[in-house]
Amino acid sequence: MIARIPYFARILAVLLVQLFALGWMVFDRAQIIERGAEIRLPARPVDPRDLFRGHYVRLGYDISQLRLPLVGGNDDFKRNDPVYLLARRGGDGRIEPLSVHHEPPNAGPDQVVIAGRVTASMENLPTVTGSDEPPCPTPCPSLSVSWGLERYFVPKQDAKRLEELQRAGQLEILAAVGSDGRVAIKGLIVDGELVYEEPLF
Amino acid sequence: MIDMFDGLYRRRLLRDLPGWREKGWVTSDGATAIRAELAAAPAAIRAPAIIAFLGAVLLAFAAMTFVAANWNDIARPLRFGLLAGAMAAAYLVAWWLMRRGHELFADAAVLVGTAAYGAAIMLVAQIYHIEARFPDGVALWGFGALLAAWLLESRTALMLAIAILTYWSGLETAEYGWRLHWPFLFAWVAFIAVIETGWRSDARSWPTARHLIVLSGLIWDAVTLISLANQGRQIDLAVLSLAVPLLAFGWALAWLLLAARSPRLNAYGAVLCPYALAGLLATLFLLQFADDGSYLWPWWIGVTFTLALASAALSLAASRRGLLGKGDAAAIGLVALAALPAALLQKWSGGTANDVTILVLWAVPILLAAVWSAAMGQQRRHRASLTIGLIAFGAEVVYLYFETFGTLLDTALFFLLGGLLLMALAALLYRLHRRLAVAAGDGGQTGAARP
Repeated sequence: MIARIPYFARILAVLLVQLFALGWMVFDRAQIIERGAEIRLPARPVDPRDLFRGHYVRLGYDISQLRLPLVGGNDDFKRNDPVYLLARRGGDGRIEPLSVHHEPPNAGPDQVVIAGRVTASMENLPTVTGSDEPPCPTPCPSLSVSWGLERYFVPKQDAKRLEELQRAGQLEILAAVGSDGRVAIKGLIVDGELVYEEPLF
Repeated sequence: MIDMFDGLYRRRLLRDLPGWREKGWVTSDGATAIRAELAAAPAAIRAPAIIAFLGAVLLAFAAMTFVAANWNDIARPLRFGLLAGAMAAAYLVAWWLMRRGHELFADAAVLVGTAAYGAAIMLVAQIYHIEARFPDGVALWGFGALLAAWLLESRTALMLAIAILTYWSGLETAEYGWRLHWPFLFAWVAFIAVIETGWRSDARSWPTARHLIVLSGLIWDAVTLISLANQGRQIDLAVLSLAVPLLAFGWALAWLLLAARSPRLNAYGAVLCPYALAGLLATLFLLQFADDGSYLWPWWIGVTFTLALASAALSLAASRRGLLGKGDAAAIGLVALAALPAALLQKWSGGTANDVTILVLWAVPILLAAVWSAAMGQQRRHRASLTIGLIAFGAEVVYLYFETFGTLLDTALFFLLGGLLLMALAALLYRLHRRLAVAAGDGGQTGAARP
């Protein structure tokens, strides 16, 4: 049955479908960057010595660890569970976490929903020194969440310049949030200035 | 490169010629003519061709190493293009090889193309910082491989697709929160559809495909059952012990398929039967070790009995065609209940039951089931059943020995007696197998019943 179609046509069909699947991966992400709501997140490099020097930079955010008693919403998460953060989005793009959910909640005006995945759930997470967070009553069930923003690579020609800038000031990530909550890194902001913008393709 | 085999053929031909002449297949003039022709052909290996080929391989490696070393400095669209190019090259080579008639090599090239597709998925995600769910990427690869298997009638792509998609389902169940990953069933039906409807009939006759499909289904069953039995820190042994009647049902189903009129269904039955039987006895054996759980689900006894009855009913239907006897139908019904005695005692006694009693309540059904399997194998000329039964019997006896005498005897004495017992057991089982297998081997393979 299949053998009646010429082999070349069948090979071409398989190749095209597989390439289309790859292209769809890229296009899907480009859509988020192009159309998504922009938010700004202060970023803490996890390994400051290698910032922008190696292949990947690992970044941590305030929302990377969520203390459930301080953030409202559901509180029974297991590893690899999806988690949706409802946050208020200010005019400058900075966000304020409101609550976490198992299912995507409805977002009102000036609100965004960000989708992530629980990487670990623990208790009594130590507070970051110098942060002005209210104390969390023990036990303090907490989640480590991966939002899709934790690893980033910058091309070699930009790496040195960005490292100098980052040493001089505060690094923030400009991210785009799609309608289904998925986020993608759109650019890098140092001291309030957009210093690098991610190309679409 | 394929011409390299000509030398072997030539030497073989020269060796065979005298024999053909003796048998009168070739006249003496003919043999002389053949020898003359062979002598005229260049017998030496073409060195320049081989050197050129090795040079090409080195260049290819140089190109790959260069790309890998400077991967991150290449512009992103170009990186995507390189990956696409690698895939296209592999598939093009497959087409070219198929045109030359080298089906097996073409199949290997399709495998390379499909593997390149998987690598491309991973690398594209890395290039563009796509942080999606890992199982989704695996599924994208697996279904792409399945498409290649279907359209190109590629055996290697089908093997890859079955392996990847089974792993996908296991991953979703074990790590990503699925209790019963039913989307896998669509993939499983697709496997069957690919070989039974898409492929040409001579490609379809590849028996390994059906083995892989049945195995993949059984693996999914096992993973799903364990997932359903998982209650956080405890295991619901009621759900886990359902594996026994389920596999008994599978065995009965296999015989029903064997009794069907369609040869394709027969083929699936022939594959399922030994796996179901082996799984059944293995599960009974392994359940003896499960003691960190309780029997929680309230309906498990009823479901066990229902499945046992269903197994017996299916076997009766198969016995109508003469493949099984009514005794076998009754036997499988009882074997389906084999996990119950020990389980019921453990449940009703609330964990206070005597260890020896539990041991006996497991051992007796297992030994009886093993003996039945061996006897049925001998009677029905089904060698697999015979072997499985004997192995299960031997394993259980060894286990019983360890459990009963392990604590009583001094270590050295324990090992001495154990060694002697093992050797005696091995000798006994070997002679039993020889005797029964000889009897089972007369007159054919599976299923032919003797009145």
